[in-house]
Order: sequence, then C-alpha cells, then structure tokens
Amino acid sequence: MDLTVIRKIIKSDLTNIRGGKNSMTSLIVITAVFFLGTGFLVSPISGLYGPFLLGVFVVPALFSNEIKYHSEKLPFILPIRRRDLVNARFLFAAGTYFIVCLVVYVLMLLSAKIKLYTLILGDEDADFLKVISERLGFSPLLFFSMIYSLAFAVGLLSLGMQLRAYFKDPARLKADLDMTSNKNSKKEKIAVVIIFFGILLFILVVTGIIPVTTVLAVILQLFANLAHAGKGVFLTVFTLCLGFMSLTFSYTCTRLEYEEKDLG
Amino acid sequence: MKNLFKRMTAALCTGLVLSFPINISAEEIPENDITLPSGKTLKEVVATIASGCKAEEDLGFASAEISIFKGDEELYTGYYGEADKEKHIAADETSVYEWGSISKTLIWVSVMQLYEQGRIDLDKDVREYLPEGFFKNLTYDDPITMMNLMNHNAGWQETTKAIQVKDEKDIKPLGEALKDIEPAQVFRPGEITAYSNYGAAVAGYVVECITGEDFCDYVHENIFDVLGMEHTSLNPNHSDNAYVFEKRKEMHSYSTMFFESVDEGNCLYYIPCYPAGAAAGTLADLRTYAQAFVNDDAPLFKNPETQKLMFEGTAFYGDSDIPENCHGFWPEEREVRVYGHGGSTLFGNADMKFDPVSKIGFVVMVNQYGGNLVTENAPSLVFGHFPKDKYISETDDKIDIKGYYLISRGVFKGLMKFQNTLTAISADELGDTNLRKLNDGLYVIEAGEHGQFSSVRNYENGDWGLLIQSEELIHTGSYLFALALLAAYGLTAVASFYMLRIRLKVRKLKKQSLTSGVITAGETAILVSVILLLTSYVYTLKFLGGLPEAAMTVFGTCQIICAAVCVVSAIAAVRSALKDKDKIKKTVCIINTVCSVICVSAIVYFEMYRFWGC
Repeated sequence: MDLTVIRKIIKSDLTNIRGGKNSMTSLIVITAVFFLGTGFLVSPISGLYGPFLLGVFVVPALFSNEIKYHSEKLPFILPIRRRDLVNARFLFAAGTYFIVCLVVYVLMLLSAKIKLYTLILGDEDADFLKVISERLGFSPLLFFSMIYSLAFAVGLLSLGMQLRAYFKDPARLKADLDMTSNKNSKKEKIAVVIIFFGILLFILVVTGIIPVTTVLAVILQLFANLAHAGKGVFLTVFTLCLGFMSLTFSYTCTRLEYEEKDLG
Repeated sequence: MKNLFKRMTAALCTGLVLSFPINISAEEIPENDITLPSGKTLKEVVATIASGCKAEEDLGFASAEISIFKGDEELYTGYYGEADKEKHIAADETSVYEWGSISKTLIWVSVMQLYEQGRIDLDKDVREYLPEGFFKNLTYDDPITMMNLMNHNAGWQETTKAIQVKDEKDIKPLGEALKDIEPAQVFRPGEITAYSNYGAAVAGYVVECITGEDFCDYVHENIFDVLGMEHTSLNPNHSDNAYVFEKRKEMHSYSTMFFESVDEGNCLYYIPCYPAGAAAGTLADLRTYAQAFVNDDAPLFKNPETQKLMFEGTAFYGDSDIPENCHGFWPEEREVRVYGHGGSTLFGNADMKFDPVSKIGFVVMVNQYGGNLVTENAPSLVFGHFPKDKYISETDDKIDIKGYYLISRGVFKGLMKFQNTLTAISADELGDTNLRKLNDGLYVIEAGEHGQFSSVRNYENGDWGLLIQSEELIHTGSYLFALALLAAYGLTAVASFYMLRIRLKVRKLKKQSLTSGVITAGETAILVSVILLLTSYVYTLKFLGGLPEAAMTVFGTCQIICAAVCVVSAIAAVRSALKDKDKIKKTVCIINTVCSVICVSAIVYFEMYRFWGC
C-alpha cells in the first residue's frame, strides 16, 4: 500500500468536495444539527440515528461532486493503481465515518451527563435512556454504548455496501441521488418485490402466523448474555467485529471487481 | 412523564373495567371474614385477586381458579376468566387443569406409605429395588438413595431428551421411558441440589418395582380413591379417568405476547415419565388432596406420625435447623412456615401451599404457561412475605455477590452443554439483591421486600455455590472464557460465510480458485457447524425442551465430521501459507487456520459432538 499516493488521492477528493455547491453536504449538516439537537433536547438515544444516516449518506456526500461533474472516470487516466484508489476511498470514507460517529458518541455522552432534556421538559423522570436501561438491568452509559456500537456496526455495513455500489456503477448512484432515472431497472423491481415481501413477512411474524419466535429467542438470548457479560464489553466487541467484517468483505469485493472493471 | 403514564394506565384500566365484566359470581365472595397468616383478611385477599384479574383481562389474562381453605373447611373458591376464550367457556368447577410438578408429591406420599409399611428403606441404594443394570450413565459409584431422590441431589443433570411428546403413540411403559431419557450423572450424590424430573420419576418407578403394580394404579388405589378424588388422572394420556380424558380436550392454554392473549390450542402433550408431572384434574380435587396434609387424622397414612415425619427436614441450610427440603416437599419461610409444591407444564401452572399449624392453605390452577398474577401473588397474599425482621438484623454481614453462576439444573455434559453458557447468571443481573450472612452457615438472599434462605456450599473440586431451595448457583471462573469462545465461534461462521462469497467472486472474475478445495471445505464446515448448533437449540425449544435421540445422533455425528474437516483444512491451510508467496492467499490461509482452530475448540469444549451418555 503506497501511503503517499493514498494521501494524494484523499487530498484530491477533499478538493472535490469543497469545489462547487454540494447540496449533499448541506443536507448532512442539517441532519446532523437536527439529531444532535434532539440528542440534547429530547434524549441521547436520538444520537443513534447518526451512525445509521451516516452509513447511508457519507458516500454520496463525499463523492456527489465527482458524480455531478462527471469526473468519476478521471482516476482511470491518472497514474494511480486501481487498488490504491479503492484503498484511499475506503480509508477516507471509513475514516470520516469513524470520526463523525466518535464525535456524535462523545456529544451524546455529554448530553447524558448534563441532562438538558430534563430541564427543558421539567421532569426528572423524562429520561428515556435511564428508564429503558434500568428496566433491562444496565447502567445508562453502558446501555447507550452497547446500542451505539450496534448502530455503528450497521452503519459500517451500509457504508461498505454504498462504496461497493459506487465503485461498481457511479452513474447509478447519481441517478438514485437525483431520482432522475426513469428507467425502472430490473434490480429496482426486484428490490420493490423484496421489500414488499419483507413487510409481509414482518406482519406475519408479528401476528404469530409464522412462528419464528424460537429462532429469534436463540439469537436474542445469545445477545442478552453477551450484553450482560463483562459489563457489555463482549457485545460491543462482537457487534464491532461484525461491522468490520462486513466492511472488509465489501472492500475485498470492491478490490476484486474494480480491478477487473472495463474502462468503458 | 411517570405521572402521566400512571394516569393513562389508570384511565385505561377504568375503561376496561367498565367495558368488560369479568366472570365472577356474587355468591362466591366470602361472607365470613378471617385474618390469614399474611395479616390480610380473606375479603381483602379476594378483592385484590378479583380486581387484579379484572385489570388484566385485556392484557392477556386467560383463566385462574383458586381455593383457600382452613382444615376441611372451604373458605373461598373463585373462578376467573375463560377456559376457552373463543367459545367463551368460563372457568368453573368442572374445568380441568394440569398439576405439573405437584404430581411429584404423589410419589413422595407413596414412598412414605411404603416406608410406613416397612417396605422401603429411605437410606438404601435404590438400585437394590430397580432391575439389574438400570442406570447406564452413572459417573460415581456412590449409592443413590431415596433420600437423594427426594432431596433432588442424586447428581443428574437436566435431561437433554424430550420429556414430553406430542404423539400418544410415543408413550412407553415407565421403565422404558426412563431408560430413554436417562441423563448423565454430573455431581456426586448428596453434593449438589439440582431439581430433577428424571430423579423424581425414578422414585415413582421404585414404587412400581416394590409394589409390583403400575404407579398410576397404586396412586389411584392408595391416594385418589382414599380421598374420593374422582376427577383427577395421572396417566400420560389421562385414560385412567374418563372425565378428565374428555374434559382436558376442551381446555385451551394461552400465552401472552405484547399484552395480547395467544391461543395455544389445547396443548395436549404427553409425559411418558408421568410421575414427574402428568396429573390433571379439577380444583376441588386438588384442594381435597391439599386438605389431607393439614388433617391431623392423616387420611393418607395408617399412622398420623408418618405424615408429621414427612414434613420434617431431610436437607438443611448450612448447619442450621432450617429445612431446605422435607421428604420431597419444599418448605418456605413466610409469616409462617409453609409446605407445598408448585407445578408448571406447557399448558399452565399450578401451586399448592399449606401451613400444618394454622391448617390454612390454598391451591391455584391456571391455563397460562408461566403462570399469571394469581399464581404469582397468591402465596404472599395468603401467607405474607419472608419475615426479614425476624431473621435479619443490621449487624448481619452483607456479602457482595460477584462473578458468574451456572444453574445446577442445567446441562454439563453432552451436545447441549453450551446452553449453560447462555443461561448463566451474572451477579450484576441480581440488581438490588443482597446476601446476608446469619449464623450456622445460614444466609438470607434479600431482594426488595422478598427474601429466602440460602447457604454457601463448597464443592470437592474447589468451586463453591449458593443453594437456593431446589437449585444451586455454581460459581464459575471460566464463564467469560466460555462466552468468548462461543461468541468467537459465531464470528467464525460469519467470517466463513464472507470468505465463501469472496471465493465465488474470485472464481467468477478470475476463473481460478483462491486456495485449495480442502480449505474451502473447512470454511463450509465451520458454517455448517454453527448452523447445526443454532438448529439444535431451536429444535430443543420446538420439541418441548429436549431432543429426540435420532436428532441428537445426527447433530453429534455431523459435528464430528465438521471438526474433522476443520482439522484437515487447518493443516492444509498452514502448509499452503508456508509454501505460497502470494500475500492474499497467505492471508486467506491464516484466517482459515484461526477460524478452524476456534471452531474445533468450541466443538470440543462444549461437547457438541457428544450424543451418547447424556
């Protein structure tokens, strides 16, 4: 891994982000302010949305200008190896995601400490985090850390998938962002069908028509035991491992696919 | 927010009360009031139960029947809810419920009857009464006495085979059924208390062997007929009582999900080892049975002294004279000392408690698995809570409970051993629970207003545990390691899944394999092993708490194959890593080796291969 080249690629991407109007960045900022606001004014639990949304939007936010100005094929003509480009972008996106999530986590911990929301609502008991965590037998800090790590892992999964999709077909990402694509591709149709059946399955499970409670009980029992053991460290490590594994998988697949990709 | 929630709940309950009248008739409300051992009056207790049932009617409550008695006088009997909600069949005196483990008291009474007749020695090895070579899975040569069976400390682990069956055709004679489910003996007899359905059923079989007649027939002759219990059965399929046979089919069981009642159908399952929990009958019959134990004439025995002896302690907390077990009956310290037994089946719960001194007692039966507010609250409403003021003073040492504990009533050998890791309790989970040291090795576990006696037990292997009536919490120092191994085992499956997908991708793109087929087989074996583990656990829950023998054999054999493939794969991966110069292939081989080692370690440590002798 040539770190000098990677650094240069990241610098170039940063330049791209700053250049021109980036509506995605504005959207990210507005969303961040909103959820940080609710995190301080309502409950730190709102901060969980941070990793979820970041995982979905960080890739479009970082590369929307490149797509907008049709410069996604520029790296192909630059004297850089494809693997370095993949390495650089994964590092950049994951690094950005990690830093922002860390900031959100610290801010939410601060919110949990100062409890501004109890002052605003005028009720000491208006602390949802405390209510839920104590009901489950955890301290609020521990509980929040555990669920935040789960959200972080899900965000990593999403980030990996987004990056892989971007490397596969950047134009597609643009069409999705702009919602300008009039062509209902086969994949979109399949996605709609899957989502429909997913919702149907969910309804059937919740109403008990499909009894999957035993399967869920097994998995939840393991998670519950992991949560209680070692003051939640086990579950945190477990979920983070799952998140990093999914990111590594997306990275590996991207490397393989991108190196074989035709320039046309 | 809390106040708002309370107001909303109160409004909701009021609305429910006004909208949905609960099934209780006016003539059942007691006229004569007495003060119960709890300090509450009978009317207060009845009002509490009635209002509680009303409030929960739309929160998943099904039905409950309760009868409070004093001597042979019936103080109060109440029927709440519906036995069949769809057909709106109210719970009443004709309804039939399952006794669950209260059935075990029939064994202990039978044994004491034989003891009275001089036909059994409670301290003799029960193998002398059983057919030659009856037990196949014993670990210790120590004798197993009837006392061990009554005290539930014969040393057997929880059986991994299904103790309930869905098909009537699977019902076998008691001796054969016991041989089918014999669990491994994991503790030395007398050392650790671990509630055992198998042990109790063996005691029933001992009665059968001594008397030469079916245990069911013996109970009918010597208990049911004696007390005039005409609406109670004991046979697994209730064929020994025509009334119960027909009526039981009409009863429905309910569970609660998100405060909604879910109809589980009639939940008609059969217990081949029936002495442990197959009795079923009406509330009136169960009350009659319970009343016999507070009757000074002891109608079940020739000599009333035998009944008194039955309620003397056979196992104690520490060196104190506080009994932990009385010939199979479980004593509890409340405002008075009560004796009795609870019961639980997939159909519902039941409870029987009585005080031989005041002659007050109650019986309760419900058709909800896990019980409901009536079974939960009846003991404290009638007999009060543990009298903390009587036993605990501020000068008593408070001991910090730390670490992790395995429940003695668990699986310690065989392919379901990993369940112990999932059911272990951490001291943190005990929350506000305190352990107080009194004297003579007596401790009290207090949690809020509740409490119960306990004692610390030191085991021969250096471990220690806390005795809590029918079970011991065995302190374990290796729990974190076991959990880490189980979690790592799960992660290797995820890693293997991703690795296999990457291989497919490489093959598709580069038209070549990443590494050899043996290494790929290893990754597949890891995935299969974890899926087998999850499947076996789901199967256990689906098959009523145990695995059929055929399924155990299949799971165990497959795990052996998976372990063997992982070992071969790991060796191939190491050789490949040493030979190959390609960094990616080297990395893949190293990952494969690590995952294979973890997988094999988990299979060995948790005995996932062991389908025999457990």
